[in-house]
Amino acid sequence: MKELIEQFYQSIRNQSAPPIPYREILLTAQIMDEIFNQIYNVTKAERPVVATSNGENNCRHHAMKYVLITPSRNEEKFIQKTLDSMVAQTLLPVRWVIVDDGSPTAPASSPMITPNAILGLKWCTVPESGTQLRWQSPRFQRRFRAR
Amino acid sequence: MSGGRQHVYLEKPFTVTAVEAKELIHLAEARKLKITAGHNLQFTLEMLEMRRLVAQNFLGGKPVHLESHFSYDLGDTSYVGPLLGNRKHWVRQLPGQLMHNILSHGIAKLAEFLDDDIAEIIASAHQSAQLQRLGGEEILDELRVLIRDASGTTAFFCFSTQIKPGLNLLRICGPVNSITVDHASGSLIPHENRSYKSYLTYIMPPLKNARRHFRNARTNFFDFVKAACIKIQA
Repeated sequence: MKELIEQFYQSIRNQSAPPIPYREILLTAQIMDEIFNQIYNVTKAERPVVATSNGENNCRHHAMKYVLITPSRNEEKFIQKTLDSMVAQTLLPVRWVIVDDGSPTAPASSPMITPNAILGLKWCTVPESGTQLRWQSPRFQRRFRAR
Repeated sequence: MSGGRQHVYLEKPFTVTAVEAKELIHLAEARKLKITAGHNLQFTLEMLEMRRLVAQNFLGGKPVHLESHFSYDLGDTSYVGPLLGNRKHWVRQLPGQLMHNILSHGIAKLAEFLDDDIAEIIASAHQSAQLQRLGGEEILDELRVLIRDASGTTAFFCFSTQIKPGLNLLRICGPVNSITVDHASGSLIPHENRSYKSYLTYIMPPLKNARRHFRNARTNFFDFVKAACIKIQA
């Protein structure tokens, strides 16, 4: 350790390259990532994170897997924000299906994001099904219609 | 470092992921600060000697094959005990668990001679019977890895808690000569590609190795005496 620290101080004093090239540090980290991905079957959708902000364990062996289904009828104004927000999440879905359920206006099918950006992203455009909840209980109507 | 102006010596593991390592290095470079990883095994006397030989082209070219062995003794309960007894132990939160905190020493020695462009990595791991008896749950402790970079240099990495005596060595095989660095005994053995007549093939190389081992023992002895004298003077 003494030699490494001495060389490190020397690199600081002389403004020279650090004793361990950054290339080697990065390559070591990349190789280790790949090894752990293989032996612990960590999929690329599950970014290894030590802990979430509330202290909950979020590692591979505790991480939940989830599939996300996002309806996007008439959401062309907001879908890009949704996509950006989802990409920024710590724990990505195993599969994400975005369903454009027959938007009468311009379909929200041309987001800036490429499907490769998120593993398992599937974009579906289906004809308008036009179904909606016909019967609503009086309690439901009182609670939500009033808003 | 994010708020201050300090250079940083960061103990292993450097970061949890390669993405974080990249971000940290970019941050250091942006702030014109130095950062390094605590891979101190790369700077032992035998590793410095190895680098001197490599710089003199002892290998005869780019390494053809590398081997790195790294052992860990599960009998060291001061570290393993708390780790196994507590699922929330910080080491168990790492993606590579027990190995994540130890592996980088052995991998970093390979990275020094591998290209950035890695073509293939094949990793295989299992849990030893000893760790199973200790209640290791999902922790793996026997790892073997094969690596091939884009230029064709291959590497083998072995992490074991079971090999006895513990191995901690690096072998660099060049197109002309090879070098073995043994951290466990603080030794460096250069292997020269030289043929001898007849039965001398079985006599001269062992004698040369013996002479080299004797030199290693002598060097280590004088280093020890020198260090002890400095300590006494202080």
